[in-house]
Amino acid sequence: MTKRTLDLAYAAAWLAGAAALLWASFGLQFENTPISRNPAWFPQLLLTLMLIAAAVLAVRSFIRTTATPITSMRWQALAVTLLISALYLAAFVSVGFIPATVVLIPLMSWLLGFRRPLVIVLVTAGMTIGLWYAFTLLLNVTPPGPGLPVFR
Amino acid sequence: MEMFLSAVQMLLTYGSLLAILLGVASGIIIGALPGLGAVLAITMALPLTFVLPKEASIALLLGLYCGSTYGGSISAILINTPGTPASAATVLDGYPMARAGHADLALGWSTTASAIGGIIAALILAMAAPLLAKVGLLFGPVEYFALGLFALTCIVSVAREDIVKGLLAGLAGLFIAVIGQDPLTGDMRFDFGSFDLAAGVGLVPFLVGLFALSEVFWRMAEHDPKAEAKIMRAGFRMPGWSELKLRAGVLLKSSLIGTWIGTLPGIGATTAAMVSYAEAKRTSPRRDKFGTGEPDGIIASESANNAVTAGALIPTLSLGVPGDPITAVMLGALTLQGITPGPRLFTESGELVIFIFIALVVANIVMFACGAALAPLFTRILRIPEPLMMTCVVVLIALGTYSINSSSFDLLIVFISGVAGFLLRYNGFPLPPIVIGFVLCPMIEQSMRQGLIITDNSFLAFFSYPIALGLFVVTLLFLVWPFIRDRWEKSKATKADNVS
Repeated sequence: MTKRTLDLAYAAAWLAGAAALLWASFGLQFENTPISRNPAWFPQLLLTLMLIAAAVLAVRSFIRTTATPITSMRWQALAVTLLISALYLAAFVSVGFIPATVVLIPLMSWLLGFRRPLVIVLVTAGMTIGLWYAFTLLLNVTPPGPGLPVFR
Repeated sequence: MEMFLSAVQMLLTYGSLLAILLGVASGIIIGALPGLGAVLAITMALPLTFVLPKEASIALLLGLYCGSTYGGSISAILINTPGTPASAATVLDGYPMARAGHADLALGWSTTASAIGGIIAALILAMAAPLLAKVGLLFGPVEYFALGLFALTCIVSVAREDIVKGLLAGLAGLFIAVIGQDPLTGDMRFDFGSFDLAAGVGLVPFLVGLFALSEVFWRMAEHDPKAEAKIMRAGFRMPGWSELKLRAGVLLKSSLIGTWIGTLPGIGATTAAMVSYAEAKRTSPRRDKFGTGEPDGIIASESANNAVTAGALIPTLSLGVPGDPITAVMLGALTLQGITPGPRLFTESGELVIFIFIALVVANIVMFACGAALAPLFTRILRIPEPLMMTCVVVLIALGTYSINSSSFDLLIVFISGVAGFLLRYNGFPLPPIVIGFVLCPMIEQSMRQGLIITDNSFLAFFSYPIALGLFVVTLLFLVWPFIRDRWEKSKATKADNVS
């Protein structure tokens, strides 16, 4: 994929998004209200400007004389990171900080190429226990889910 | 003179000095952890102010304020994650400098600039607090609107490489801030029936996701084993005297910008840092190196955001009007101590006011020493292998964000803005304009609509306000000048080539 194609794709996405939101804003029914009391006016202005800027981006991508290729990425590593981060953030509240973290650190480190089991175990234990106590006892913020013994 | 000596005596006690040291050290650590920040630090210390003597309480709060504002730069430099929103601009040059193998120097610059910025602002506070507060009173809705538009010109400065993408990013930031309840009428906007969206998008989860989580995704996708070998310069390195002299102008100007913006209630350190960065990028002789690890970028951001700590105290002490959310909490703490901020404070409790000035100066000096001492510890983070470090960053992001409101919606915002941040970076969209738009939008919209109410819905009447008119003219100049200067420089270069 070249930069020109990517710019066009992004411009199309901006145009579609801004147009859809602008359409949704007309449902707010403030047509006859003065600007000062019209909550829809300012967002509509922003969305209109966004449409114009996205159109300029699209036109510019056609006019651009060179179509430089974009940098290649490690898509597999990215996909792993995205998926595991999403699952972790979801599990953080539903399952709890400790269970989610105890699974995340070894799994994500291993899948991303870090292969020192002892270090992973020590970091997992240290981070989980250390952060739990630091937040609970020092910052008075109890992470969600099952906790550790607190001796007061 | 008697009041000054009395204030010095109040400060030179074990209690006050220890309170400053503990406050600064704790503030630095809390500020360095993404998602926590100065408000949490000061709120946590509030119960202590009940049991501590008045002077020690004030010293502790000032230490926490200075320390946490500076602490945000540590994670901004080392892991491309601003610890506090005020350090969002520090990321732009601090992190590239660390990636180039000069993390120690980057931390040296941020510590030095923060300390000097804070001290300059404290001195201005001492000399001109009531006068500056009166100037602040001259700013009404129309003037705030003009100031907001002026601050938006930052977008042009930080996105010079691609103005169209920068504008799109800025507009996106402005729009995202609109989501939720309208501040004037209470109507819901773009909440799509969601109870969580009705409260709007939080700044901290949005910022943490946009910078920190997107950086995790980026580092994993773009892994370059050779790059890791460079990031080994742990420790703290003071900038040389000649380098400091070379950049004294940027340091002074940024400190003044931060102090001035701090005196205007409701604006805050994030805007001050962004405006200062953009101004430095516009005028620095080394502006072409911004974004690649140029010290001027770090100096501009850090001196401005720390100058705000003193600047924001000016309306707080002089008028009883807090300059930002952090001084609002401090105002509560002062009131609990039986101190009534306002015009009479300077006459009825003069030595206490002088004590605050001196304590601020001492807090900034202690902050410099603590920063230098803690930097080697923090920079060891850079030696952690990247997959392990990024995994730990994800844990910190989740915990830090959750600690704000104990909300799973905030975690969703973090993830979505992380993905969006990655996608935008992939196609060369700059991220700072998004933050600039997001932070400035409430002020711009609210002041514009309040101004229109005052002027009976006439935009033209805005130009009849002298301060606003002056700001509009400066805004236009700031927008147009970079293009004129570029054209002039290009024509000079062409003429020079023709001659040779």
